[in-house]
Amino acid sequence: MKRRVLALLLASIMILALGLSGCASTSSEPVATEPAAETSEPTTEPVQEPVTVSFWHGYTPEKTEVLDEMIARYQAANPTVTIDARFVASGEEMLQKVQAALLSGEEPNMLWGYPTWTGVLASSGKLVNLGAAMDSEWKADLPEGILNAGKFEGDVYSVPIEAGTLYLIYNKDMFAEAGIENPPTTWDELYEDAKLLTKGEQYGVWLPIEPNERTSWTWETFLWQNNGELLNSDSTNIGFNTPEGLEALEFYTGLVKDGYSPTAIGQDPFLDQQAAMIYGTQGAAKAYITKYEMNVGVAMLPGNKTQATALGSNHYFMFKSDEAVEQATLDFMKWMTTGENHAEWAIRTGYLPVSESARTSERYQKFGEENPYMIEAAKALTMGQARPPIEEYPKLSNVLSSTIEKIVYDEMTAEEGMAKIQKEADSIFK
Amino acid sequence: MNKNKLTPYLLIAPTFVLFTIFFLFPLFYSFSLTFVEWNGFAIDKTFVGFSNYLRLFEDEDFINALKNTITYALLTVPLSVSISLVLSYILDEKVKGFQALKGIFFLPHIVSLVAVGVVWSWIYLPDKYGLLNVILGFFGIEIHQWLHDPDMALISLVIIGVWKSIGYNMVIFIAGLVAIPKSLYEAAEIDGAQGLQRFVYITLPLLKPTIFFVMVSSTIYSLFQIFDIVKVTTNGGPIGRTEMLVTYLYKVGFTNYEMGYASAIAFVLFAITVLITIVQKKFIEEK
Repeated sequence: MKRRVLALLLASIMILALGLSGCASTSSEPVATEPAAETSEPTTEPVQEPVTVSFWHGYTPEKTEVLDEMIARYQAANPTVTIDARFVASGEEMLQKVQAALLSGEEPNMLWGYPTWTGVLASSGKLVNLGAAMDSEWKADLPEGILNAGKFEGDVYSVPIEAGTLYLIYNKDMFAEAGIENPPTTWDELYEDAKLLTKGEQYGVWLPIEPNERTSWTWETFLWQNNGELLNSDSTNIGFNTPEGLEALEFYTGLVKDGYSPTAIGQDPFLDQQAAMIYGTQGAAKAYITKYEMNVGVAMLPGNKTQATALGSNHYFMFKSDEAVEQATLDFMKWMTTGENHAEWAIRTGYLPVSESARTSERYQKFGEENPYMIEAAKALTMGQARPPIEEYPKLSNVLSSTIEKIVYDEMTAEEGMAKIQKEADSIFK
Repeated sequence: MNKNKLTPYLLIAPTFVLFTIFFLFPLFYSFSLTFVEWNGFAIDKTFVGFSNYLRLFEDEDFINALKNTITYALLTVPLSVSISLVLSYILDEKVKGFQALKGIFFLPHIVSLVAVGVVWSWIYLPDKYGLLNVILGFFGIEIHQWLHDPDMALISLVIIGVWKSIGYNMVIFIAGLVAIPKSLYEAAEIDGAQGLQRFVYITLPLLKPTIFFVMVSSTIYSLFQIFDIVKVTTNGGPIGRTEMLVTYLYKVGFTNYEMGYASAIAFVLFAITVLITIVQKKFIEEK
């Protein structure tokens, strides 16, 4: 009996030990194997500790291929550095992964993400103040507006890597059929054209109404075109509970309620030829033109009181670690965001280049001549407004988009909707 | 003698250790979170007492989600239980191809919910884009929107829920049916009982414990686990008509980053589930 108990005790200890060692080995694996692979290549560099930078991103497989190619080139030039880049999650889901990683201390050194995350990420206290770490030449190379998109409580916590703006993508065939020559440039023209283009199962324009960030983002362009502001001057509450804001809300929901924009969509309303116009990024336009070979035109968004569009950018964040890793991460970030390398990245992925040195590079100039729609997009970039990188933005965006949906489905009027947004904003910004 | 008593504890030790780490600890930890305000990132948590619970009473979205969840359970559970009971009763009468049919009915249960959700969201696409509309159109029935129509969305989800759970319920019912002695049916037949009478006076009373089990587990299932399908198909829309308690608490926790409030919702959901189970048990016992 005694021996049996002893055996069981031993067995359970072994199971536990196995479990623990299993956990331990998985976390140390990448560090242990990758520098080893590195040493198999002939290195002539003086003795320097090999450094591994873990990098989480959310790129599509095609973009990941380009990224891997560029990383290989960077590593060839910097043999002691290994960039361990991996796809973790796309879009907003990345933030959830990072949250879990931060709590367990498994966060990456470098993170690709949206500047709207800055507030929550900074509250962890583990984010590196990149504005202080970047040299002045690098900072001057980046447009202030985009750099400030990652600003939180006075500090810049991220480096922009990609930019995009919303602009009008339209189906030239449908326009010709409806007898419209030029894309709309004002709200009135947008309304008239949408009316002309709507027939049967075809709609004039697609303005999203689902409760998500895309809806808020699209509506914000209407607000800005109407000289409205998302936040008040000291960012302590919303700034669009004004006649301008209400007008933007009424116009947007009106287009949907009057039946010129679909409330239910298939997989892709533009590709399915369900809508003649959509508000999309240059990346989407590129796909429609080159991948699906549609007869597509692009134009600035129709304005009202002024011309405006939404500026979206993806940024690199850095989490605190030891100095050598932070230095290597910073160096790789600079390599990716400036000069010819950045031009190559922008051209091959379809994003707009952010740094001046990339835009003026020979390579990009030549590319612009061959692809005029990218130049149109670059023009829009100068009119772009960024979303505020405040901690409250995700909540505000939720309230905004779900209210738009309720107005469209006649649950409330635009005035009641605005009152609801104000009421919820009061508790968000308390 | 003492050592003999120790053996079972040692046997369950490995499981219990894991249970403590991955179940008990998170349970108590999330309970402690219901009293704080925390975004899940920050180093410091703010103690707020019971305000997370008090907030529930004023939260229209929470009340809406509660209403939807209960409606969903009220529609799905009786439908699923009655359909699977009838189907298993028919199958029990030695239908040809019994095993194959059982397999076909059970199949939806083992398919991943996310995959099911994606496929159904394609089936439910609006107008001419969806498979279901094409098929219904062939028979002259015109329904334009499913998941996008505020009045149809929840019903669409109920259809998926019933389809998904029938197979599992059937397996339990068939096991219960097999346990009923055949001699009872033979005796009833001699006394002149018809098919329906046999079902009502023999099958139903003897199957009561099984029915109770299936009802409780389906209710808990539709309260607690109606998440994946909603997340993939409607994400709570349109206008919140398919927002469930679990999807709402997920949004509060992982879109709005209010961990404390989300934990409070989770514990209210837990309380509701326990309550419903007790009521169901009382109800069945009294009958």
